[in-house]
Amino acid sequence: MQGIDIQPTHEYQGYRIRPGKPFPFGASLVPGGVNFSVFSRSASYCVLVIFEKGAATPLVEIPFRGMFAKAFTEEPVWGEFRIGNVFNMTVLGLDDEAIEYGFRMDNGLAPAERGKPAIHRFDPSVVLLDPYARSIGGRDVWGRAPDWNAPFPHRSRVVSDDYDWEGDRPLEIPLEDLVIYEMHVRGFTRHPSSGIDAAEAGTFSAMREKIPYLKELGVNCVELMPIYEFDEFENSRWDDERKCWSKMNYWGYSTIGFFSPKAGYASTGRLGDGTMVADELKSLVKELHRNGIEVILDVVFNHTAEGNEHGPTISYRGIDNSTYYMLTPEGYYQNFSGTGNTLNCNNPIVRDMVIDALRYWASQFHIDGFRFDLASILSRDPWGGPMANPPLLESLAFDPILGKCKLIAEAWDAGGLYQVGSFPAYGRWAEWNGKYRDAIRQFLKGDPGETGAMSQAILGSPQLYQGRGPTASINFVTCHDGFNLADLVSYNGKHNEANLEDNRDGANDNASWNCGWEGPTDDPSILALRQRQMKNAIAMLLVSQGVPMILMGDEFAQSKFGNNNTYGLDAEINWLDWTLRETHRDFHRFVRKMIAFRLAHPVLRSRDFFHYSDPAGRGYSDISWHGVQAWRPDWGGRAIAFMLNGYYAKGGTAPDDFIYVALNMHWDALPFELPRLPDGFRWRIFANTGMPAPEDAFDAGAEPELADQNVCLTGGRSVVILVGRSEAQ
Amino acid sequence: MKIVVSEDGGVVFIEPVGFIDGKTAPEFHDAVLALLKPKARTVLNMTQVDFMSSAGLRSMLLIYQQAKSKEAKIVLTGVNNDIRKSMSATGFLAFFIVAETVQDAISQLG
Repeated sequence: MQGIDIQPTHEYQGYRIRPGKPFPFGASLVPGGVNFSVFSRSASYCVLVIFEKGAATPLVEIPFRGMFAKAFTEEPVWGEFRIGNVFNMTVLGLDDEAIEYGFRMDNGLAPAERGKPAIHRFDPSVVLLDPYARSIGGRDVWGRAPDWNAPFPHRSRVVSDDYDWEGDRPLEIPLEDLVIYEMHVRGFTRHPSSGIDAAEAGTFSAMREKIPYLKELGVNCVELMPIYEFDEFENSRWDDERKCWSKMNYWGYSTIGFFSPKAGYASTGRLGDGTMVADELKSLVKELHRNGIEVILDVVFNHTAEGNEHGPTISYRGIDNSTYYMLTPEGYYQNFSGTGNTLNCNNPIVRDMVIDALRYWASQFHIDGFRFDLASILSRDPWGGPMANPPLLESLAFDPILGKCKLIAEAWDAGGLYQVGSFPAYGRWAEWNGKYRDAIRQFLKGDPGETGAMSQAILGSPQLYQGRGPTASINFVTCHDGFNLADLVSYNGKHNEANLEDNRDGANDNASWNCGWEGPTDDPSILALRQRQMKNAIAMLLVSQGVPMILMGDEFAQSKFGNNNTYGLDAEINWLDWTLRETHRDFHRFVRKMIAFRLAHPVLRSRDFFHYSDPAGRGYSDISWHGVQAWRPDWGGRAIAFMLNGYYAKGGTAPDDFIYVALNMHWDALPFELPRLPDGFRWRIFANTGMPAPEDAFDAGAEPELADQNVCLTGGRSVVILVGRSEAQ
Repeated sequence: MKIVVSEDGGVVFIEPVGFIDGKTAPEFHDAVLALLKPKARTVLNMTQVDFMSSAGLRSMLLIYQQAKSKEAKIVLTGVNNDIRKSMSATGFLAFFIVAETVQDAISQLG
């Protein structure tokens, strides 16, 4: 039966309207029309502005308060469409596909001056983007130069949520079983070598076509660098010399709208149809799930693209500046993000918006988890002070809809808060473990006395996460920020000239080592050492407890020529070069084998820290440390070994082999005395980074037996991985 | 919107003409659904459709689902390159059998 609220109560310039519903915020399809709802605590006046798609001038501007015509008559009637601080109105008979909309807001004060501090920044001359817009027009095709003078550059659109998921659900792979691949949607297929048609390259659908590659690599989770709508032209400028845009926002860490996929990442973006863009992303997620691959989004809730006092008014600041942003008492923007403004995440309104957004992505896009950029900002109070019990982080940890989502914090911010190991976790939050990265890098380059820190890294960082378990630790050697793997072993210092900031940008402390020559070389001994060091890094990463993350391109040693901060380059340096799969096929093979090894051995994927005990009396504790002499680790040197007793894998529920790993970062070869296995068990060699391919890694089940079961000679700067099992098994 | 319908040798030919978007999609799928008899063999000839929006994609999916429930068979033909690309990118194309020509479509119906 049809509802009785489908009839209009008022009319305005031929548009039939009725009081709307305050929830949900944003524009939603309702029987017969579209419901619009927007919050502002301080606006005294609000107007709904509706455009025909792409048009410069509005179709109609309907005030939320004023004189209307009574529906079906010409009789004038007063109307006010507001409940509390929420303006809401249903417009009937709209062709939701054909329109774009925004709001004008005012509170009767003179507009704030650009560049000057202000508590309120109402400006009724601006058509504001809906903070809850499910689709945003204006940057529909990546890199298409916008009209800089467009009065309404970022346009809210209406999206239809219906989609045929064909039974798909988030995969809910246990966190300890993930192998994460950090990647950039555009960079993944933009390079001509991807084999994707140029018109489709760099999009969600192009990525979908390349899923077989991810499957072959063996990862079971992709972490997508920001895919919320952002403006790739933000802060960019035309470089007349090189005939290209420089300082683009290629990475996308500057959100325009938290509910909208980046239209320029959709091959269908050019059609200006927000529902189709959403469909394209959903189709990608569905296909990844079919292939056993989860999707984590890198989300940026710490600031927006509106910048500081000098920035543009796009949405939030024109709707309720002091609600959405952390301000000083004078009205300057606090800058804990290093980008001009700071989202006021622990204001109750903003907190709700963040939660609403994440619920939307989890429920409507089947997203499996989120990695929060500069997440420490989410623990600050509205005045900037860090809180012991931040409401937003607690709400996210206990949210029913996000109840099975992975929540991962980048546990620091640009305001000096560093919370690795101390991020408010509520038993849910994991962290990008920056200390793991530092420990591995220092040990890898042969710094003395790093074996202790390295052992903590191998264990899943219990010194940081006691009580939380190894799954709190997202382990990585490289990520989008800083050197990639090839450059970590090829450069001592950064070389960021291409960023046009005189090499001032990017981190100076990289804990990298060039292996004897800065940058490209054809010296075969240096090249061989670099390759071995990369294999060592990958081996260490994949035998560590915790959750490993691999950076796109590292799996076949792509270099960025020493640039450790490539945020602004939409160029080959950032595009995955698929020809390197062949150029570095031995290394690529090693990476695949290491991933497969990890996934084949549950003893590498504990949910809990080791106990250093042997409760079942098997003769070996769950983990033991060794050195050149078995059972006698040398904590002061450059080499260490450990053995895992597979009997205790996953708390004894997933019986596994013994695994022995010798990590020798000394330049000389060292003989490691092997712990004696139980009768009938033999040591077999899975990997030896000191050997050339294909002897560097073997398939599960085909590992050759070690000729000498007592001693394993491990080459200088090499890693050896053995499996011990009984022939009777 | 105009929809041309004919029948030949037990096959129903449906040929919509124009855009399939938010305005025309309801009319389009109502018309096609009315023609979808149980176990019908149908060729949906899209030669004269220049553009399809997300509402059009949804109409197509509704038609596909109805056809399945009626054990009817539908083959698409004449899908222009742009529409094919957007149907492919959004995953909707995977639901359908697509033939290059009307003759192919008939033989695909078996």
